[in-house]
Amino acid sequence: MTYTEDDLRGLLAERTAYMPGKASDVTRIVRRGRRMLMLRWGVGVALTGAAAATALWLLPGPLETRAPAPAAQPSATARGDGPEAPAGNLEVGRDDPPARLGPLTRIGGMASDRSAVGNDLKVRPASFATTVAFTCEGRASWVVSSVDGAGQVSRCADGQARHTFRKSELPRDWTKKEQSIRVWVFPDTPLVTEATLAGCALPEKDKGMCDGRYAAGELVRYDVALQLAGDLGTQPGAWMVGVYDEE
Amino acid sequence: MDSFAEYVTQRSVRLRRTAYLLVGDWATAEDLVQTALARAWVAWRRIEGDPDPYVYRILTNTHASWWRRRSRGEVPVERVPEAAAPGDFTRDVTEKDALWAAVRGLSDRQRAVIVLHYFEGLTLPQCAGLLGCSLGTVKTQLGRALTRLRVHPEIRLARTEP
Repeated sequence: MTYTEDDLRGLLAERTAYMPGKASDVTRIVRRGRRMLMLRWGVGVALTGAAAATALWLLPGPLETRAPAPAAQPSATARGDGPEAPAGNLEVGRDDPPARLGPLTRIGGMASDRSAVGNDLKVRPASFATTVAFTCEGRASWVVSSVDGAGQVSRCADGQARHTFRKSELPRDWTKKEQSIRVWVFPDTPLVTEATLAGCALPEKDKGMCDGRYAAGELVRYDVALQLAGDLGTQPGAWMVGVYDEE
Repeated sequence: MDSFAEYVTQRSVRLRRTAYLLVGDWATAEDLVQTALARAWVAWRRIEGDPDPYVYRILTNTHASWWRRRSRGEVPVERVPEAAAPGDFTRDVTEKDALWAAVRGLSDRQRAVIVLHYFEGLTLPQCAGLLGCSLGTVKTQLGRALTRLRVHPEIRLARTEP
């Protein structure tokens, strides 16, 4: 016995012609989606409260350096006067980043006990040697530093990552006025792939996605990083970052 | 009505039919569709344009992940059984049952390709996009599936019955 393609099409249509039950209930689906979100966030708070908290957390805006930080919020630090300290001696997410990084001095920084978050660091660079140094609790976390959509993305390999901007990535007036560096830290997640858009079977350039996953290199884009943060929700994972520059 | 509710209203019936072809029973199909739509709801705000490719991708991915974890509890049919004897009045029904049993006996990936291509009418590149694999892989899976189903793609209008 041999069949044709039309036989196959006919069979598939015939077997689905009778469908028992009612149409899908939107309310039940949305309720299920909310449960998924709550599970993903790993919190027992009501969805609306968690969503509002996440939205506030993700709002772009400069950090008020030296301002007291509420509990479980990032704490920011400005130019440090303390002694240089190895990161390993610090409690990630609670202590300040080291005051010095080799010959460079800290000109800004922050710490957080949550990942999948980002923030703007306001700094006053003195040179084009500006370096961003991350220390992460999650040893395979993704860390992003960007200025005006250009910058670097890397793993926080063994809990450490250091990004030095190329001069071409920085605005010409870099040393002339206060600047903003956007930093993000994401946990190790299957939502992110190291593949580039060029090598994708299904690239979605506008979303910065490769075969349904976020292309790591695209996370320097604010919109892409924000989408990933929204998909993940805030998660455990302490980290801190210092911005260093020549004195 | 928001866009998600509108989408569910318009498309859930079709999605359930597709899900039924993937899983083989209506209750599991409904569960699969609800799960896929709930996941789509979570990401709804970042879906631009036609949500269908995104939702179908979630549907097929969810189906694949379920079946990796669950025992299917059915015995796959290796090949389509031979047809009933000519003249048998149950012949047509038997032939369809045999073909259906063979569809049920395909691997999950092969069945997904068959359903997306022949039921949803997607092109093979579209199938590849939804299933997250290369076009070559889809062609290979389709070829193997058609061989097992004894479907000849080049014979579209007439049966080759003796």
